[in-house]
Amino acid sequence: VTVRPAEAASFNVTALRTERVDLYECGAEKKKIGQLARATFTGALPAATVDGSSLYIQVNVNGGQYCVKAFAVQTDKEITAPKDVECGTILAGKQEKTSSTRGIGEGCKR
Amino acid sequence: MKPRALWVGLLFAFNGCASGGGEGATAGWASKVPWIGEKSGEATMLAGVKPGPYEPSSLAVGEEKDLARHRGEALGFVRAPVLEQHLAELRASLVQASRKTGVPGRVVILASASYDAFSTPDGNVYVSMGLVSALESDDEVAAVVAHELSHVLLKHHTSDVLADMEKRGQALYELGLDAKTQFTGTQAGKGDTRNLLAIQAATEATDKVMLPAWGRGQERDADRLGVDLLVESGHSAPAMISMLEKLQAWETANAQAEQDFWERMKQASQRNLNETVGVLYQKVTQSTSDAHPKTAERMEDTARYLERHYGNRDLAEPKADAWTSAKSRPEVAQVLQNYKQAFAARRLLEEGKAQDAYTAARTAATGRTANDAYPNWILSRSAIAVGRQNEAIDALRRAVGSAEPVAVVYEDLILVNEREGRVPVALDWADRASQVFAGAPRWTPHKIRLLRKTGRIIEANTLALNCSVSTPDLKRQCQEANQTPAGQTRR
Repeated sequence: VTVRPAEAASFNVTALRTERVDLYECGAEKKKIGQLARATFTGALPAATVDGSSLYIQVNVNGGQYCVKAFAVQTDKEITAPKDVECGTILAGKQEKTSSTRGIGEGCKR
Repeated sequence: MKPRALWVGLLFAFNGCASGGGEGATAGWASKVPWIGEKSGEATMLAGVKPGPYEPSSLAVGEEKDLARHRGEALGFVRAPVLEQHLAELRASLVQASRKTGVPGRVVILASASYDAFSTPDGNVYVSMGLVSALESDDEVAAVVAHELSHVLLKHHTSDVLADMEKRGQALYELGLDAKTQFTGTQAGKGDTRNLLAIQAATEATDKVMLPAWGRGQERDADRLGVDLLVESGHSAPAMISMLEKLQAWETANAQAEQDFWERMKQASQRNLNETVGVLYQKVTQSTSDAHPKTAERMEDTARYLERHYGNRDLAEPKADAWTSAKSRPEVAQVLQNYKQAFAARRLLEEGKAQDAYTAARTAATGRTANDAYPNWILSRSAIAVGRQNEAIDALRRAVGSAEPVAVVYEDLILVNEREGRVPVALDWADRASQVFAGAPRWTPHKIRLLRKTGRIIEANTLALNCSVSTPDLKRQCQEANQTPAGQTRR
């Protein structure tokens, strides 16, 4: 059995989605204790999931452990998606464009 | 020169609306769109939706007719009552959160492996099986439905009127030009050709450039109102972003199709346009291509919106249980698994692995999907590929008899009969398809071609004329079909 160090199982914050991202204590109260600024954000911050909440993730900033709102940051967590085999068919079949809006993922329909 | 001035004027007027967040959309129909742009950043999108009875869209054709038409456009619907009930309940909670009453429509699952969802003026929300399978929580499913429902509530479908009007205008101008040429016995003049080119340019630009630009504003607003609906209905609003992350992953995996589209656009613009309008068009195309809707931007906008309006609220945690439980019920799990097999069979068939495709398709057309159209259509195709003709015919028969018909089955039947010289039978299948799919226009080119082959030229001409004006998207196909060599009249 190979025991991996915690870092190996974690991921990184690679970008901030908002101009400023609040840093919180990771306790139950989530007290705000600082901010990250998008303008000065460089590189990647080591991150990990937070037990019992997927709304926050834990990040390591200058050696300190903080929590950030998960929706406010971009990470390098791998999200897999299958190669679409129907795209061509939908393209061919979508003949009456009128009266339906572009939807969630209509990329290859046009 | 008037048409050019008019169309170019339109082109820039609508470009302004799109890039300006819709604040300039004050004329005529556009003023009915309850658009809230960047300038009203303090209010939520939901605050702009007036509570009370929903006013039906003028573009609505009727819920059932809309369903029949869309059934004919893709690969059919998947019937999974437990999932459909679950989706209906999610939708109901979102409608309630909107404070609108009497919002029509329902959520339908499309037999497609792609990540796709769209809505129609009738309020119907179509979600592909690929997306349904990929979503991991009730909240992500609700996010998809909330986004599409938002298009309905915000009457975004109205923008399609613009494209449709332009195409009809172009079709009429071309028809008028044809009539003039035939009547006078002369070639179209330089002025006529220039006007036509300008109209074509504006129509193409609206369709491919301006509407996507307008669409970006729509997508953003639908994301934002979707977030409001998620919050108000007690769902986890950040699911809108996790859902978009999955979409982004799918886009990355399927980037080639997108690149192919823009390559075709580039070639078309080089081929068709060589005047001032063309140069402008190419520039706009290029800039829009560079700023093509990016899911990452939508995620950023949604994150900012969430933070701005709900940053101080305790947002709900995502709940996976109900969705997981619905998907893992035996009757649902089997449907999901069988369609997965059917999609795999299709891919294998395209890769030339006929025997593997046949094996997968055999599994796909069993149990609860034994009589479903899509798995049987794939089984039919793969059975032919491995030389099992009788099995193929049986499968095709089941596909035709399915409660949820699939358009491609009818197309196969039309083409096979036509190829084997049974043109009247092929025409009969085209007529049947047109009925089954509520007169969906995709059957019109088939009918025109087959009518000509059976010598019914006047009927073919009438259909072609009607097609050019009423369904400009199909104009070229209808005109090509109407070039089919005329056959002998059969009575």
